[in-house]
Amino acid sequence: MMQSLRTRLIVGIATSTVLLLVGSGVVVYMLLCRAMTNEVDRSLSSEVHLLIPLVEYDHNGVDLDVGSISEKNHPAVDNLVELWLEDGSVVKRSPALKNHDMKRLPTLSNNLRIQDSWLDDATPVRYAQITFDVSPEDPAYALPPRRVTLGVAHLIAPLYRQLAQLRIVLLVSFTGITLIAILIVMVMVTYTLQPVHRLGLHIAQLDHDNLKQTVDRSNMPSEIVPVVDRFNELLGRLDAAFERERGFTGDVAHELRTPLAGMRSILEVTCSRERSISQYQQALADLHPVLIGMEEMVNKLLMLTRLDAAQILPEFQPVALNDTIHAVWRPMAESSNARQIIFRNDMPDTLQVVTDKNLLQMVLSNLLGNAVAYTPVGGQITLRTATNRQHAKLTIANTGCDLKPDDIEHVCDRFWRGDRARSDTGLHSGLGLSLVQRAMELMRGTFNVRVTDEGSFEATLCLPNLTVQSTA
Amino acid sequence: MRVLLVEDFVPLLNSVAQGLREAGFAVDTASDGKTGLWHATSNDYDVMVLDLMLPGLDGLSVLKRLRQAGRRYPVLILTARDTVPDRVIGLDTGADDYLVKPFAFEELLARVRALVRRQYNQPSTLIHIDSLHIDTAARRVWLDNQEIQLTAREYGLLEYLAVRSGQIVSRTDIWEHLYEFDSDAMSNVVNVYIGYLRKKIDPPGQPSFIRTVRGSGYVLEIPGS
Repeated sequence: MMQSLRTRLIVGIATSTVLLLVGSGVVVYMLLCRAMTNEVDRSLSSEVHLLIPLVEYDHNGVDLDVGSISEKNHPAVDNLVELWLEDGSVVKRSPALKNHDMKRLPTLSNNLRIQDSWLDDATPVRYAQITFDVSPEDPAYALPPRRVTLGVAHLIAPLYRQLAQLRIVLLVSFTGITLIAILIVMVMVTYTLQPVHRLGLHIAQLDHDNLKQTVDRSNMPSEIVPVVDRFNELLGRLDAAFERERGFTGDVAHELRTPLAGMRSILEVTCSRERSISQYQQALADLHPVLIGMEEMVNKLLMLTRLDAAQILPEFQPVALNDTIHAVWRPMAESSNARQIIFRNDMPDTLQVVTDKNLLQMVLSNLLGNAVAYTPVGGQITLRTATNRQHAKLTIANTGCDLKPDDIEHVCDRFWRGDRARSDTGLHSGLGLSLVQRAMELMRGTFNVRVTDEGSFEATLCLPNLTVQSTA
Repeated sequence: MRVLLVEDFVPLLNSVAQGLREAGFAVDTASDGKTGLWHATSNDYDVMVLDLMLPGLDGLSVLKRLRQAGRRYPVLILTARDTVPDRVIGLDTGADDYLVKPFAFEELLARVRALVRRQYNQPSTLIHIDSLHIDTAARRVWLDNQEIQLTAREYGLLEYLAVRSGQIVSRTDIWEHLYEFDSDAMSNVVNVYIGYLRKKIDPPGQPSFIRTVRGSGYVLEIPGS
């Protein structure tokens, strides 16, 4: 339950509010309590100081005019007064005490001491006591001063009742305020979190087929807008990734289904009736290139998957570029010669680069293979290089390119083929340049293609920040 | 019957064309969209088998333009895309049937035959004209209870006349529905095969099933009607 932001906010704010209110209530109560008690104490103190001069000492002894106490009595306070001699005998007791005594403090002090006390019938009182010396007013009475103790008390039961009522009032009012505050907090938190709630609802209803529904940022609080923007960007990338995956899966299915359909059709038609040996042989001969094409496609798909998953880690080593090109070109030379294609290699024999040899061979095999396949009869394939301190650039160009300018941006898309290649469905998978691009990224290089004004296709490999050496 | 097959994957194109020819169809082929469209709008085929992913002009565009040109003969789409939206788009664009690759050749053949029957309002694979009985699925012919052996070309001619029985069929019609685009047959071959057919199916001493309508063509009907 506490996982909810709304609940956390409500509980947190409500708890803070309750603590604040309770604390305030306690403080208010204590302050009022103190104030009321101080008021009683002040009253007691002034009474004591009023009574002290009224203590008389003559040859008859010590006395206190209780009548004068009554006159001076505060109408709201019961007048409780008692006067003791030093031996503890009671000189005077106010009528309000009736037969009860106040409890004289055991320690006698010249300072006024005020504290809670009880009468001997357990009636609570606020008790003030002071001990002082009295001397005869008339100096004619040559009497030694007498030490007397005056005790004055006020009943505090009414005060306690008032304080109890105050407590009830405070409790009820603060409880009411707390409940109202909690209600307000709940409403305000719910309202304030509405944008977050809307965002959560939107996210909850997202699925792989409705990722184009971005979150509307127009009514979002400014603090959430950056989150919404980043989320919408993420949705866009996710949608694009799902599209690519759907497209890729669909493309793979399509590209595999067509050659499979061809194989099945060849077999079923061939087996639909009795045929001559040569017809069976022809059917098998027709099957073979289809199988080879499928094998090549599957191998390329596997390679692409491994490159994407970084399962292939390049091993950088010095590679003699021209030797590699010759090794790759050798198996293609025969078919190239049969179509009278001129192969021109302007690369110096001594050029070395530091790269992954196997990946480079794969790249060159794809590029030269494409060049041989798409160069028309009598056309030309040219290799040239350019080097500087930062990188080595290798360009493979072939004549007879009929790609349109709009096609160039798609040539590295997986399974994309120009119209001419589409006529070789099942034989050209449309994965070669995707492989080249991915491999070049792993080799920390770049790969670019263009169509020249003369109608040649140029594929340029650039391997940067590597040691380029001439072994001459 | 004459079929136009448009497919860019050459091994598939060749094997399906061979299978259809061996099943008695005259087959014209094209491996790109533009050539396919040219054939499709230039001739009156009984069925067109059309791949969707074609170079030059894609299959759906070929189909759209075919219908816009007023050509109404049946089209069977052949494609690797099997999702419901793909099928819906293909059928809504004007195709009559949809077959996903890879497919059983026998199924393709059966669907082509079904489309041909639909084209000629033949609800059944069996055609009966008086004592002449033709099983178009098995490509067999009986006169009463006696089976008649016909060559592939003779059967094709008989079947075409039978699906249009009662109608006058011109020599041009016969040529266009039984011979391929690049056929090197001579111009009087129709007459020759009509003669062959009459010899094999006409009851002895009875009027011919095939009546010549001078200046117009031929009619397959109940003899003497």
